[in-house]
Amino acid sequence: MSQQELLSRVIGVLDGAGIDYMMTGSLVSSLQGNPRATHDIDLVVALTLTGATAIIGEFPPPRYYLDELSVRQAIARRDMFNLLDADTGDKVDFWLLTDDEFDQNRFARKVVENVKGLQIKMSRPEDTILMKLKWSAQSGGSEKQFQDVRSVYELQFSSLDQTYLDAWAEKLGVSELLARVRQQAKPL
Amino acid sequence: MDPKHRPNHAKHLEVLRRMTPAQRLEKAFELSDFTRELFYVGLRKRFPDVSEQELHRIALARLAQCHNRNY
Repeated sequence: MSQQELLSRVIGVLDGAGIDYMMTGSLVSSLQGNPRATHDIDLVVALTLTGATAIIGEFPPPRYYLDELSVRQAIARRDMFNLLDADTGDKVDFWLLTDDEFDQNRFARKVVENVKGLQIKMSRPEDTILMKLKWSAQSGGSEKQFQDVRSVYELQFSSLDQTYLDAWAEKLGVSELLARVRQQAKPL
Repeated sequence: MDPKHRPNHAKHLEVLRRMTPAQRLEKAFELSDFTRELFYVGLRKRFPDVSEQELHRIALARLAQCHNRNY
């Protein structure tokens, strides 16, 4: 199974179980900016214990590795768990939707994109930028995240809501990084 | 510093280790193909009115900027 097929299967399960989600991370920045290969599919999920049962049942061993206890703990702690395809090494990181203001806001603003017939809910470019800047700051200045951000900024420049970017960058403490992106970017 | 905690990281490495070098390389190509497809979907959305040829030119110009700085 390819990464694309795994993504399609996971989205099918989430949609079927009525679990709202939003794709983020490098797959989204590959669509909104420059491509960068990754093993990880990052999904923010509004998951409850009832929904968890549906997911666990759909990805049984030995093909998949999904630890039920980790799922339940992630829901209780509002952090994350992952699903591994034991044959291909592809991985889905499920990030629990939290009550954090930015998390709630970006989730509410998500958009649906059609990728080769697959309807995928994903973060808006501004939120992709802000979240990657946040990760970059937290990792002590990850160049990988920064380059992803710069590419999204350059390609989406004409439609970016700069006021929104400024306001949230301030709240998230990434204004300096955003200024650096603007300085280095060559918008299309 | 990686701020993301990585549950099942050892398990993930175990899966990758089980694959042959050829399978790992094939996987790398496949992942690369998929992100490039996503990239073209995004570019077409960004430039809905340009010809295929022009879209390809824009894509190549962008791809030329994609290189690791740690090779």
